[in-house]
Amino acid sequence: MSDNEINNDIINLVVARLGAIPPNVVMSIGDIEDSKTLTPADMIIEVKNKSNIGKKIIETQLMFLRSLKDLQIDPELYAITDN
Amino acid sequence: MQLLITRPRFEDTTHYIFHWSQPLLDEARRWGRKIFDLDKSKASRKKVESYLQSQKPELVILNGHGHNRAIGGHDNEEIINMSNARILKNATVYARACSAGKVLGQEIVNQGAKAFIGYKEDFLFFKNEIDFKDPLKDDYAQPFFESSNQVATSLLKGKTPKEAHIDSMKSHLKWIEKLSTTAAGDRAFLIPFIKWNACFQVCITEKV
Repeated sequence: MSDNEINNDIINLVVARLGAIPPNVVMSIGDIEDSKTLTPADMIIEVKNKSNIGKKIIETQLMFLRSLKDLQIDPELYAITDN
Repeated sequence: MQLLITRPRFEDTTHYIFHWSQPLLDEARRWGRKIFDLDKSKASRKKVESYLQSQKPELVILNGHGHNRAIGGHDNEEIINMSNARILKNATVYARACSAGKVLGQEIVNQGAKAFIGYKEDFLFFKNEIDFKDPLKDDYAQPFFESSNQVATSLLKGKTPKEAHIDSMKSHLKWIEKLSTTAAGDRAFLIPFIKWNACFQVCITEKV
């Protein structure tokens, strides 16, 4: 994801979602060369700075939100029986 | 079946991975598997290469940091990379390490391993700072490690790599469904991150 693709609306959306993370919880992320333990506040800074890790955090949220449109409703499960 | 497992522990992340690998050792013992446990500083390139060459374990579980061309051990020493991938010949490999599934995993299989299961992107997880001394009690880490441990648990039971991969996917899905209910409490935020690990978990098998 390039910097140009990440507009303020996306950043605000992701920051709002990260606001739901309890403050006592930290995330472990990053590879052998750039491993980090981030508090929710650190995550928000990474997102706002559009760092490599920030972009990955953005992608986790966008991947999830995009997947919601593919939710399938099982017609058997929701079948209505008219008597 | 013989199992070789690496469990480096030298900072916060490997501390968690070290402890969450303990259930795998318990499972291996339950199934009577012979175990070569290269923990802490024993997770060195020299020892890994020595054990792989002399014992030729059928199942290899590598825990640690990684990148697309290497998997790290103690102090991030590259214990497996593109130059020694051939020593995993005939083994089934599960790597709980960032990004090794992007390039190295395919090379490991090209060099003769039966299968490689790992991650094409970062393997990430959350932890509660309060539970640092006892990671196995950490409710925030549990979904990530139970779902990833399922790969190894299924392999230890004798399932094929593809079956183990699918079992792990089902475990991820089970956690996503569980955390989608009101019972999730404040853990619902974990769902996108669990989905991330699942989406980038890959299973590469040899050509038959």
